[in-house]
Formats: sequence, C-alpha cells, structure tokens
Amino acid sequence: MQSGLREAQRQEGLFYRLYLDENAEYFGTFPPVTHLAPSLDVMVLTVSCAALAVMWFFTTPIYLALIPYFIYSIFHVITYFSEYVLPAITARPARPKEDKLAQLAHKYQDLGSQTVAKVEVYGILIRLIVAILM
Amino acid sequence: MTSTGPTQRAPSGGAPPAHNVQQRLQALLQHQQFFWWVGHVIIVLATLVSTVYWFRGLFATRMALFWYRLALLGAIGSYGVVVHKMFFKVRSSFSF
Repeated sequence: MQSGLREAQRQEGLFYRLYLDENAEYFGTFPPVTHLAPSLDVMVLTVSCAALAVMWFFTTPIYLALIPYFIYSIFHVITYFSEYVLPAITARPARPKEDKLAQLAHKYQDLGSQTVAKVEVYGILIRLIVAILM
Repeated sequence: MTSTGPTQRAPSGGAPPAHNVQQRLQALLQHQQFFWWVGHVIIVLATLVSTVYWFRGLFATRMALFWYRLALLGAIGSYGVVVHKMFFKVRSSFSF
C-alpha cells in the first residue's frame, strides 16, 4: 500500500520532471500522455513563450530576442528528428540510446537552458533597459 | 488516474505497420506534432539567416526583417500548437 503510493508518486514526479523540461518532453511521448495534465509551470512557460513571440513579432526588432527560441529549437529539432523523422525515412526503429546526435542533444540540454537564462537576463533585459534610457 | 508509465510509450510515427516511405511519412505528417517540429525548423533556419545579416551590420534592411519575422512566426506556430494542445481537447480520428 505504502510502497504502491510511493511508486505512484515517483512516476508522477518523473512525468512532471519530463514536462518541466521546457515542454520538449511533453511532446516527446507518442502518443502524448493526455491523462496527466501538464503542470502549472509548463503551462505558464509555454503560454508566456507564445505571448512573447507575438509581442516580438509586432514590436521593434531586437536580434537578441531570437536567441532563446533558437537554442531551444536546436534541441527540439534534433530530438524529434532522431526519434520520429529518421525512423520514418529509414524504416528502422528509433534507438535514442545509440544515436550520437540525440546523445549530444541530451548531454547539452542543461547547458542550453542555462545559456538561455543568461541571454535573457544579461542580454535582452539590459538591451531593453538601455533602449528605454536612451 | 491510471499511470501507464514511460514503458508503455509507443514507438514513433514511423514504426507502426506502414510499409513504404510514403505511408510512413504520411503517418508522420498527420500528427499535430509534426507541425510543432516544422515550426522549430523554421526558427533555426531563419535565425541562422538573420544572424548572417546581423553580423554584416545589415539588420535594419528589409530582407533581414523578413527573416527575423519569419523566425518569430515559426515560434508563434510551434508554441501555439502546444498551447492549443494544452487548453483544447483535440478530437480526431487518431488514437491518442
């Protein structure tokens, strides 16, 4: 009973950790896990990313605004390509553990997230403050 | 809440019983996630192009702005798909 509960909590925690990985893993399961709602963090992050994209689209262009989207996109593109597109073309099942590109993407995912955070704080924020003050 | 765990995760869009490349790619294309991926591919390509413009000091030109806006359009598309998936139940013939 107790251990079953703990197992359930562990699995739920695993799902939430996967979700928290900037919604990449939310889509990483096929078919997507629909019976578990994504956590609030992921919802807020995704909605704010979408809203910010709309905002950047209609305001004065700032090159640095593309960098966070770009860095996240690299990982999403590589992961999805090696797991879904390449197997569809070559008819071989996906082996994420053996794919070197997917392994590299997995290895540098944390570094990518940290870089995004630094770009947002030290790049875009300062750029915007300077633009306001000038 | 039934917890199916990550072990039940079915393989990718290509792995099901499709026989030739065309069928497998069609199965891939029919899924919403593919458009999410296309959006991210657009982001990567358009950002690379506008990076070239930026380093050459031509970021204010019309073509540079076109690529900048295209990258953001890709972002709107791919994140919009996720938002759509989060807040609206997608009813479709695909079994998920």
